[in-house]
Amino acid sequence: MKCYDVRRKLSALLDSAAEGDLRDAVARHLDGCAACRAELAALASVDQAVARTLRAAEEPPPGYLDGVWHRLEPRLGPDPELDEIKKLAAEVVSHSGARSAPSMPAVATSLGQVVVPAGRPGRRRAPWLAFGGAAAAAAALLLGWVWLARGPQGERVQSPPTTGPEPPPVVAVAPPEPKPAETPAPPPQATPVAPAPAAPPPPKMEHRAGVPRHEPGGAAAKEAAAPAAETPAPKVEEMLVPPPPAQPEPVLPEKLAHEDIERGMVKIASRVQACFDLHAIEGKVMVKVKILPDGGVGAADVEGKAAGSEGGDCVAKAVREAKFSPFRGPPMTIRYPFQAE
Amino acid sequence: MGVPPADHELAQRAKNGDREAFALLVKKHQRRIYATAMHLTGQHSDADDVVQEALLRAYRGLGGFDGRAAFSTWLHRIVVNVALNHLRARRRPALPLEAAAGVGEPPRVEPRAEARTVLVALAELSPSLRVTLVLATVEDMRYREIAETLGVPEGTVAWRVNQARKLLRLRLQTLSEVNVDEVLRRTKKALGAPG
Repeated sequence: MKCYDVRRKLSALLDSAAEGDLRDAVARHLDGCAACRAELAALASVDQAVARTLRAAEEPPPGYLDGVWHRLEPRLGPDPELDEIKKLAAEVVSHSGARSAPSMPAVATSLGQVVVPAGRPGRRRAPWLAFGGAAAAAAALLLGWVWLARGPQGERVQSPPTTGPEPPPVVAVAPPEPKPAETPAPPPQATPVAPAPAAPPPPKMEHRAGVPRHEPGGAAAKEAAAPAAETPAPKVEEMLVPPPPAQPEPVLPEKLAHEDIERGMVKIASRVQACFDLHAIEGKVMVKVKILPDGGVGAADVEGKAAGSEGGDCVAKAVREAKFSPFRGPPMTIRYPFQAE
Repeated sequence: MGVPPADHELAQRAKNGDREAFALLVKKHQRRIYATAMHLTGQHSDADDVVQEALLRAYRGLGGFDGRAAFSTWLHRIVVNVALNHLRARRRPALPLEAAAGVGEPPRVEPRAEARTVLVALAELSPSLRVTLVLATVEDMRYREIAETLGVPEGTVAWRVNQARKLLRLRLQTLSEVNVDEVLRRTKKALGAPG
């Protein structure tokens, strides 16, 4: 082989893509050709420099990985599984007859525990009421379980509304019955309904309660909820309404905290630094930034002596690409200083 | 505690609407795909965009994941193609400082001269040459795998890698002989170009 042919194959040789006779022929040539060996060494050093440079930067910034899913999940759209469970829960409630729900509201004290006000003194709840209560409580349990299984991810509440029928409004308010007395007294005969050993819970419900938390399979949840939905519930005037499954309050802050702003700015700090380097900016550059509720930047203007300069424009452009966490309140306008290192 | 579910099992569950399963997949692979995105783009902000976009596409494309390839391979392909599109859309060189300066952190030190030189040279390559070279030299992929990932013939991969190496060699040689600041001044012009 001649040098010209060999040099065309050096790249493949480096990548172990030259095999068999070709590899042997190139190797034989290299043994006797110092120039081609030097060329091979030069190409190998290019590879090493590229790999060394890029691998040095592959470690994510501290805390970055913690936020990947947090920022991704709201972009995934409605959660079909959660929607399905909501529908099933709604069916459970409607099958159980929630017409006069407010007359006998339930108060959720915690996930899976529904405390029913005692109602009129001396009045006993009928067994079927306990059953109906168990069904509704099961719906609450189901939702609560899903919530627990998913962990306390505040962004859940930001999911777009479901397309299916929403459960009836869940009311967890104090009973309309007059309060017995103003003096502090222990809660009047609060009765835990679920899981209440006295109530005759449907066997499937017990099974559902035993579903491991680490297997939040949609099919299993549906399977578990279906029997409750199909159980012919008695028509009642007073019916338990499942409380909200301890859904968290919207977690979006009213405005960004200092740390949130820093987090957003850190991402573009290198770009800004590049502007400092490229335009030989010295000292501090103050940027007026309008941050929109969706976390985007509405405007970024450099103030002070760098305003209107090429370097200032470079910095402003970099800042406009910053992304912050979303928040509830109106757009925020801040002034942020960048300092050359 | 039990053995963590395998990727294909999680992918199947995610395909059936189990978002928690997809979250597990994300958390399992995010470090790797970030590294790939960083290799390909050279900038944290770009890598972050690529990671988010790739995961979004993966989620929406789960129906097309048939399990013949490993989930990690399937996801890696998405990342590579998203990164390639990202570089093409940017149509201007990457700011060649971030990787060596410390990703995502406030600028603190001057990047090493070699790193700056390499990044300047890489930024001047076309996206396809750059991506192909990085896959071969940094991601340690074989030509056949690169060809499948990028949807091009193996011969094209070999040509691109060879071409990219030659160009880089020439540029690195040139860059090493001149003041890096001079190179950066040249880059400044490109940075000012409309994106």
